[in-house]
Amino acid sequence: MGEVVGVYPLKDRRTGKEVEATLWHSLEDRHVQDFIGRWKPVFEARLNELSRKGPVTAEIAGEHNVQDSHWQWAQKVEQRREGLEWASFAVEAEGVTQGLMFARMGAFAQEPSQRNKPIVDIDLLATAPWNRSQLTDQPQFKGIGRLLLAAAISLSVSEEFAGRIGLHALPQAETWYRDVCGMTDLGVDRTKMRYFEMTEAQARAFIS
Amino acid sequence: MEMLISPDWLRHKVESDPDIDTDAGPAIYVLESIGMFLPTELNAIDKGKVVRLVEAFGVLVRQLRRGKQWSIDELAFKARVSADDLRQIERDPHFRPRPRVVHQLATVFGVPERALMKLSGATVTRDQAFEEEAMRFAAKSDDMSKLSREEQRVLNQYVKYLSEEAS
Repeated sequence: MGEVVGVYPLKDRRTGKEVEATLWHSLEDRHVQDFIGRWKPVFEARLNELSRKGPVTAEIAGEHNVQDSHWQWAQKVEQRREGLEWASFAVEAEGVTQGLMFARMGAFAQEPSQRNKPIVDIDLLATAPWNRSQLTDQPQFKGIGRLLLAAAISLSVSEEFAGRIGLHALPQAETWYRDVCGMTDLGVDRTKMRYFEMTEAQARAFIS
Repeated sequence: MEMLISPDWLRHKVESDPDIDTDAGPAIYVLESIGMFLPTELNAIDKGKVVRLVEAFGVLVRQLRRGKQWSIDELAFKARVSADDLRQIERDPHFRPRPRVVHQLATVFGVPERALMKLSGATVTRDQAFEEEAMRFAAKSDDMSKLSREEQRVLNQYVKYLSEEAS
């Protein structure tokens, strides 16, 4: 069963007002249903729209925020089967799921100063399509990514991993993790995505 | 889990953050089955297999401790973990130690952490050979006050296997 770990303000870019959002630790069934019923059709519609205009190359898909070329689906399936320890989070506002995060414990750091120390590895951090600037002219809520990252750091601290986290950023989010969140860029790895890690000191700076 | 930020912190940061995307991991629209990413307790795993491995983990910790002639309290002090956790690790195959405890034990005993994580149930392996080796080790290790020469040999052999398995 999921539990509420906090209520936080998001900014509604369309009205300029604050909206209360609930952060859940462990997904509930309705979050999954929102993903299937509300999120996925938007992504599919955008992909169909692009397909009508011609072949969708990786570059075109990337520009429109619907790329999957860098994602190793089979690898994720394998990890899931190996039963790694997972934690899931959902952000809910106005009765709808606005953000999702899946993280696994028991992964190990690669950044030289913390190599082989346990970290919380963010496997997926996603905002609803209507909150993405590359998918809609007027994205709605701002603050979801920051809130979920703070949740991952909090989880890391509660697991006694000192705030250490790691993640693979989607290309359009690399600037966010490197320049805004202050994470260390460890380059493109075998997943063909850029891998970032946050050290204990970086985590402290992020939440200060 | 306690959140380390306040609503005011988020309110303040959101005002100064640039308006850019923040997504990480796979492009979510391609997920075929989101259920795959749900918490472990909602997914079917072979619990019996995990219990057998964790039992071997308990035996390994006990034998390593006895090999060094440490009491549970001494090991708890050296590894900076709770004695209660250690008692449960050694006696209860249904107990799942936190990753930090496994990390500390790997450090204090000089055993590869990844292998110990698998053995402790923190990560579940599908490696049949790993499981069989764990069963064999647990079966050969008896609980006597001092390690016999044979037990010491079996213990050394198993630690060597874990080291090779992790490399």
